[in-house]
Amino acid sequence: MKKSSPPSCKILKSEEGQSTIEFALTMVLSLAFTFFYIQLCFFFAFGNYVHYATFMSARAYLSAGPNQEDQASRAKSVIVRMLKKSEGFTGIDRFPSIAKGTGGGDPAGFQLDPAPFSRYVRDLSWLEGVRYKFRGRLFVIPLAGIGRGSADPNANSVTLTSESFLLREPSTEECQSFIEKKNAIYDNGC
Amino acid sequence: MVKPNRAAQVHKNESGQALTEYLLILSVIVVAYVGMVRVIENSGLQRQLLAPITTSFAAAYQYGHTKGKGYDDGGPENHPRATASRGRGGTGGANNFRIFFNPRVGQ
Repeated sequence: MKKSSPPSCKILKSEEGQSTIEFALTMVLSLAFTFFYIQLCFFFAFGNYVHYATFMSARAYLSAGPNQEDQASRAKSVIVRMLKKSEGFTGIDRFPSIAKGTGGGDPAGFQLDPAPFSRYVRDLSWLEGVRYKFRGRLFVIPLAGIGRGSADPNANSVTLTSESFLLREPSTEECQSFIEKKNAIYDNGC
Repeated sequence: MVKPNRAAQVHKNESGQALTEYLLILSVIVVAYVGMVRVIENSGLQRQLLAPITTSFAAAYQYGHTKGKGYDDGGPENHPRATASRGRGGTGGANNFRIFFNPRVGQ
């Protein structure tokens, strides 16, 4: 009677499942690159949207109002409505899976008249407007542990800054103060 | 009566050899993969691969120039609005350009 081979040899002779295992191994890499490009597209599209948001916010800041606080609150309100969840949740980003506001400010990422703005220095007076800084990750599936290691925790993220400097109209309060200093009479000038 | 050599009987049985070899090869592959990941992380390869996005694109996004620098980045250089004159009391650096032509009063 012929002796049967041990069970382990039977398993080794069979090549079933090899293609499945190879597919599983390569799928991780291919999915990482696929999701990277999808995430990159979302991030670029969001970047264009942020440019529009800062422009709209700068327009609100530019328009005249009773005082500068009112102009600033209007600019902030535009950013909140376009880039944050709602007026009641200014700390939560509208699209957190794509990018989040970063770099301080209220709300996060938002800044009015960034340094070195100075109204009285001509070369720096144009820096009057809105700046928004945001950060997004690139690899949804980290490739070879990118961004998880302690070597460079920011390796898997990109920080972009959108600026719109449209300057600002003097507010009614500032106008009246200026006219009063000149001892002039104002009726409908402010 | 001759006693059977039990140790020799155990050695003749080759079952499990493939599994042992598989585990050994797997451990070698895992060690090689972990080593490769560490080399990639320590060499900053990912930073170099992503540099076009994190630096050039970021500068183009903010300033409209891939080599643009603002006041926060040690500039301004290749800046669209900074004043070009550094020696005349201006704050601008090299290669700045003006989108909105706005000459000084009296010039």
